Amino acid sequence: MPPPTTRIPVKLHKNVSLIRTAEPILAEELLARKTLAKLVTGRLSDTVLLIRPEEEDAVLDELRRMGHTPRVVR
Amino acid sequence: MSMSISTTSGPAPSPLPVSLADAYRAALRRYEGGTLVEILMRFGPLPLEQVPKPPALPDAVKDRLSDSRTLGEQLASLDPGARLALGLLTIVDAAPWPVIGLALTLRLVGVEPIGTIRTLLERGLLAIQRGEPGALVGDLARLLDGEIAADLTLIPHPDALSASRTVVPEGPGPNQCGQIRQVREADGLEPILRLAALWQRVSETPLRQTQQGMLYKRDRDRLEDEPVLAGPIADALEPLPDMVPLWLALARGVGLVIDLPGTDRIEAAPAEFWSDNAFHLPQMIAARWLGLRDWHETGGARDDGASALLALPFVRPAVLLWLATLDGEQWIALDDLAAHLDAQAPGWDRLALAGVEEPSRSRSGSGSKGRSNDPAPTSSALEAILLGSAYVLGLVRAAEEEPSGRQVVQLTPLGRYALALGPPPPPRPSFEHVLYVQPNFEMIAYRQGLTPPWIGQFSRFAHWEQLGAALELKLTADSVYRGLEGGLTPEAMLKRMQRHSARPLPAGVAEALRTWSHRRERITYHASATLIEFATAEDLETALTAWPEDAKTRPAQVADRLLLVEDESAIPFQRFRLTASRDYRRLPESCVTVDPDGVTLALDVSRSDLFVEAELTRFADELGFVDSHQAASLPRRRFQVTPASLSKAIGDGVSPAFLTRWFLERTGSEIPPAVRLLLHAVGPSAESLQATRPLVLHVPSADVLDGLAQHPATRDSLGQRLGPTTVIVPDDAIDRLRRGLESLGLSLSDGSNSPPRRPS
Repeated sequence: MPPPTTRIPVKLHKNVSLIRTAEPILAEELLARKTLAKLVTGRLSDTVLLIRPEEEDAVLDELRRMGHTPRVVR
Repeated sequence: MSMSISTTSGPAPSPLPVSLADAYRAALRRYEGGTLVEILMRFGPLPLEQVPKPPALPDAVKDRLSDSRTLGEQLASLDPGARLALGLLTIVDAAPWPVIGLALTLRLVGVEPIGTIRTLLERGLLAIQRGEPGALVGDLARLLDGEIAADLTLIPHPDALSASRTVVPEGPGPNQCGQIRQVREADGLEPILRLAALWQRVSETPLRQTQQGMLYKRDRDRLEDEPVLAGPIADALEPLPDMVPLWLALARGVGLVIDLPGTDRIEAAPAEFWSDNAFHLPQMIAARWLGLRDWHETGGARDDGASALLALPFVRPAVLLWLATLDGEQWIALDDLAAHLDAQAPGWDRLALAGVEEPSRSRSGSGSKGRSNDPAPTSSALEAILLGSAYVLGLVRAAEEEPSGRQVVQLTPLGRYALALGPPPPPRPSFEHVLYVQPNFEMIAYRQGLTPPWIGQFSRFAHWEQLGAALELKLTADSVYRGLEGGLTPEAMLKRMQRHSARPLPAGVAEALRTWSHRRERITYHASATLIEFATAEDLETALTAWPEDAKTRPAQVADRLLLVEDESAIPFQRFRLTASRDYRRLPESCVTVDPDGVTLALDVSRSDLFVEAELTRFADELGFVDSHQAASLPRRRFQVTPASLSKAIGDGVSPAFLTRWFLERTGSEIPPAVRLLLHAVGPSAESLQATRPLVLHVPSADVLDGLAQHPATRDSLGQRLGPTTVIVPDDAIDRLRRGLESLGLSLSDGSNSPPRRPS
């Protein structure tokens, strides 16, 4: 009889707002922009920045002001 | 005399905030019981015991009329005038109808209005309501006696509306014309192009409106400055005044821009609107125009905040109905039609039906403003309606009568269809290659070959730059971005351009489009992602390896222990044990405990979120994982606030106010004294602390010390009391204290080995 499969303990984070960049240097570029850096709550990895949901409009506006055209996934 | 729309009086029926059925029922609830019973009795004899109780009467009337047999009998018993009235309400879907507005329309089509409306009210086919809050409706006949109150409005029974058909006016109509020449017909694309341009501008920057429903000046000016919205129409026979409010009202009416519920924002509809509705958009716009009451052809939009009831909106359906009495080959001269309307309802072309009091004030924008309250020359009002908006919308065609040169008009197939009197208009002739794409990313579109669906397709990824005899679009990074956001792929955009381009696409266009698309892929904003957090990186690897191959979407690893899943339904929950779940739309939880040392913080991982971890790392150092006592669960995490970590945090912009808020929010208590101490230590005003040896006076009992503290000989020589029998004596007061004690017959030993001196 095969041993029962151990289920992996996980924690679920729902409705998280974040920015993902293709390269770490792009995340650095975003963080170097003071107005945008203020809107970033934390950095989960080299390419992932954590945003508060209520800052969505401000973040997207700032990204566009910087000349980026972010893909928005809702 | 020059007059304008008052902002002080008159009704301004606003669109129904609820369904037509609910509005009808709500109007009946304000009827007196006897009136409702009378209506109910008209549907057939009803034994007294079967008459519903008063609260149930409105529903009883509504439900009885929803019965197809009862409704059919009521409709069959109507005279042609009443049937025409119901048909009018069907083609102009804009309830509630002001009674004075409907009365004008009925007069213009040769129907006696008061008797007709009364008939429809008595049968429950219409419900009437008064503007005055709480006002009850009693005797229906008396309501319509004498001068009709401006605040009376009508709401049709929804099923009566569905069952009614358009009826053309009876009796002699305007004279028909003979020979005509120079027939002109608009292509009907202008409103679609303008609405497409408006949709793009609102997509770029949503509009905001005040609580009164007016646009903020900044947004209004922005739209007024756009030639593609406010610029003159190339093919217009009569200029349209105040075009931006017109396009905005039509766009809202057809759902191309949307008032976002619960906010002050007006946003663009999703791009799918075009694929779903573009084919029928001309008819949709025509229907909205017929019911448009905040804008009129001679004066433009109603002044901001004005509540006047404009007259011309109620003339539009009557005029079109008279045109509908002709067969397809016949024409009517505007002069003759104006004279005919004059005969039906003198003064029909006045500015407003109610609420006109004040002299005009000039408005900004295109077109003529500040109209007179006196009737305009009748033909000019008619020209404005028929040769202005109706012509531009493609509802009428125009020509000249021979040899008189008079302007004549007739309905187009679209006009007949808008009145529900003809089949759907045949599709516009079109040709495939309508685009000329230039290397500078500009595209010229040949208007003659365009169709509404193609306008929609191009609007999704190319920016309308110029509208006129020639149409100009431009591909920009933003427009391509909008296309991508709307669900198009770069290949789909290229394919559309290639299909409709008269020549091969310039090489640079395809390259630029791909470059812009690629740029978009470099940054992704996830508005509501789902992250799965694992206890260890090994757990994450195991989960990734075992992730079902047939899953709709694969997760993306975004950190050592975090997977991002775009579609939560794709998570194989049967392989995981959920230890905690956090929804980031909810308020943050208190999930940190402070150790007794005040600087060590323990994170309750089961309640924490990613924000708190990010916040903690800003001002505290992680001490590493502490294994939980419970096997196979997430480990506890501990952090410590140190002078170095706090100093770095202050340098990074973390303020004491932020920390105060953070501790209250995340620990549920005040910032610990130890952390306050560190804040003081790393702060700019940190001073060196002083250590001194105070002289302490010991007395045998608390009574003695109380006495020393009170007696004038000694009280000024004592410092801070340390306890019941001890008090600090300031260095400079020791001699004074000694003298005071001596005056009381006491001695003071200073703690040295010298014996106490006794007083002499």
